[in-house]
Amino acid sequence: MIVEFLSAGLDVFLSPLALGFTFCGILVGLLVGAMPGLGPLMGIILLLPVAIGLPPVAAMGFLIAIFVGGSCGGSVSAILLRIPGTPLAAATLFDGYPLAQKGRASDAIGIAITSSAIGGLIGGVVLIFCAPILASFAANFAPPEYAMLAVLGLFAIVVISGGSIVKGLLAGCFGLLIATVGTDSFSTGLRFTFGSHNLLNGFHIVAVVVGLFAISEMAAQMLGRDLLRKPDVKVERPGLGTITMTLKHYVNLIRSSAIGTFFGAIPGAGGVISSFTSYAVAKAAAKPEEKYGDGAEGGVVATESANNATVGGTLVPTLALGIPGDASSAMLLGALLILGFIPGPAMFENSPDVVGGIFMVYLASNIFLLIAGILATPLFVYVLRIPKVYLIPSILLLCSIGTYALQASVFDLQIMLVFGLIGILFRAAHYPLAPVVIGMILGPILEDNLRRSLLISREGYWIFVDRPVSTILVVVNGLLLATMVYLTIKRARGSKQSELAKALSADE
Amino acid sequence: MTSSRLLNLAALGFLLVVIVTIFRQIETDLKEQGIASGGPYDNAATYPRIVASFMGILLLVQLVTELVRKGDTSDASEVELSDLRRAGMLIVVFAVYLMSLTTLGYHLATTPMIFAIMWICGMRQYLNMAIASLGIATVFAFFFEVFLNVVLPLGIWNIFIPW
Repeated sequence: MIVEFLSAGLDVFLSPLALGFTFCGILVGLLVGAMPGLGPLMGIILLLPVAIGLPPVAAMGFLIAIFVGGSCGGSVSAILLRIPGTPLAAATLFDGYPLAQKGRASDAIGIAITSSAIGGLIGGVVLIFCAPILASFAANFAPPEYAMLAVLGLFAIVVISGGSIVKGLLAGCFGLLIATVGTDSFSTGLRFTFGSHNLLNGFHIVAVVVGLFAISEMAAQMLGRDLLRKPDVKVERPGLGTITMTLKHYVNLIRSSAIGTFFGAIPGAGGVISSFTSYAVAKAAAKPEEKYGDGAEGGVVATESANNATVGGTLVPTLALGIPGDASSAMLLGALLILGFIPGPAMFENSPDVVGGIFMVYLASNIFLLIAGILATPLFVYVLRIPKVYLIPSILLLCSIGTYALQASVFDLQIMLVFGLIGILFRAAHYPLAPVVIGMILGPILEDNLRRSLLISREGYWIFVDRPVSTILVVVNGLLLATMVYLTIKRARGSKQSELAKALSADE
Repeated sequence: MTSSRLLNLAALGFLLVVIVTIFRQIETDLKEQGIASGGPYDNAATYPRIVASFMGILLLVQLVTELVRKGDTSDASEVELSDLRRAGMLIVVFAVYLMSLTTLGYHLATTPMIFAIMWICGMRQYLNMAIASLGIATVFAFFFEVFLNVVLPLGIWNIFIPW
């Protein structure tokens, strides 16, 4: 089965367009990852309009490569500037920056790139073996299971991603409601269109996501006072010897990649949790003379291999079940939907070439990462020197042309701006934005399957506990809901106690 | 400066408007279309009603949490008014740019927008700003028009570059 996918995928992958765009995706990913404030999600969002004009495998190659490159690129600024380009690289600071301070910046970058590539390849092996098995298991799923899976995806992201659970749920529900705008697929009635023909097909996901993330991020960048600053960074290209340095930590490499893949496959966990966990495990397992926190090579190996292995892990539920693991994979899922493919068991059965092609581009991305990462390091360092005064208008321009290019619609640009303002409000009030996107992606899956379940049911909502897998998912969702209630009460009590302590200390 | 409670209440107010709009639309527009009742096939209102109701409960919980947090009038973050003004001006310039695209077209509207953002950022070398604005606008136009075959807004004067 796996060989069939790979051979079918190889045919579509070995085209100049797919190979070229995968390579370009790695370069773009490394660039957006290296620039503080951007990252893989922003890279995918900004370049999505470019990708959807391409053949499916080339488009997915481009976006997946941005995801892979972006997950690694953050390490460059973490090592050189002590500013993680993305939250994924936050743990790389602990040892990457001290290594650079010791005059080994190029070694640290080389180790980060090699670890990311090897971690990504290990995640890719898991993806290739597990996704078809999970898809084959899910082939027996009916609407009740899919409805419960959609709820599970949303709940898991809210619980695991941290922050206020109530705010996360509110953001997720807001995403679910956004997805209801437009023509109802069952009754063909019009919902929440306010008489506008522009809303007949609902909001375009790219316009919403670009507004929520990119516009609000650019507004946030404007709050900084380093807009004209040109960071003074210099580094030499890492040598091939850094590959050998990385391979010396093979146990750490395999263990951290396994941790990364595991957390990637759990919706909501993502690269940040996996990189911090693998760093903690590596530190606990290390000998004292390795001096973690003071420039240990192992620290960089652990965090970087884990956060790139997460990409492979997160693609397992995304492709096999159509349930995204995080906001970046939600965007990949959205791209597949725009390209005309519905992720899940049906895609594995009907489009093995696309599935196999995605496997191939993922593996190739990690190989290209090693090559491009090591050869083009001076380029990324140069990008770090570009002041924000040039980057901010360029990104805003890319947002506008990209969104306009989707349907040649000025209305989409207005929607983008409105969601930009909503994004600014949500950021300011500490509402997470990822659940909005996940809700928007999962919304139609949830509603369609909920209504289909009720259509085939003779006992109303009892259908959800009639089937074993669905019942298990109902129980898991119930447990997650109970966890959310428990965590909310616990945090409320904690904050009240700290307020009391603050008040007492103020009285004293 | 804005307090964190005020921002939280503003966000809750926005979400309340969303919930009220959903229920109002169900009671008016959806009922008029005959898709607010019946079985799962015909009833397009049940799902948004469930989501909006759940959201209403959550909103109430969050509102109570906000009101119970006595005395929390701490600043949202260490943001100075001048920084906020810069971000606000960016949004205004960007909004004006988007509105003027259909009238002026891409080529006339983009360069001034980039120039204005650079000015807001604090740059004052006007020649450099003009060259950079024109350069960025042209490079993007070339990439999208030539490589991706996108026809950028031409405006009322139908301005385009025959690459």
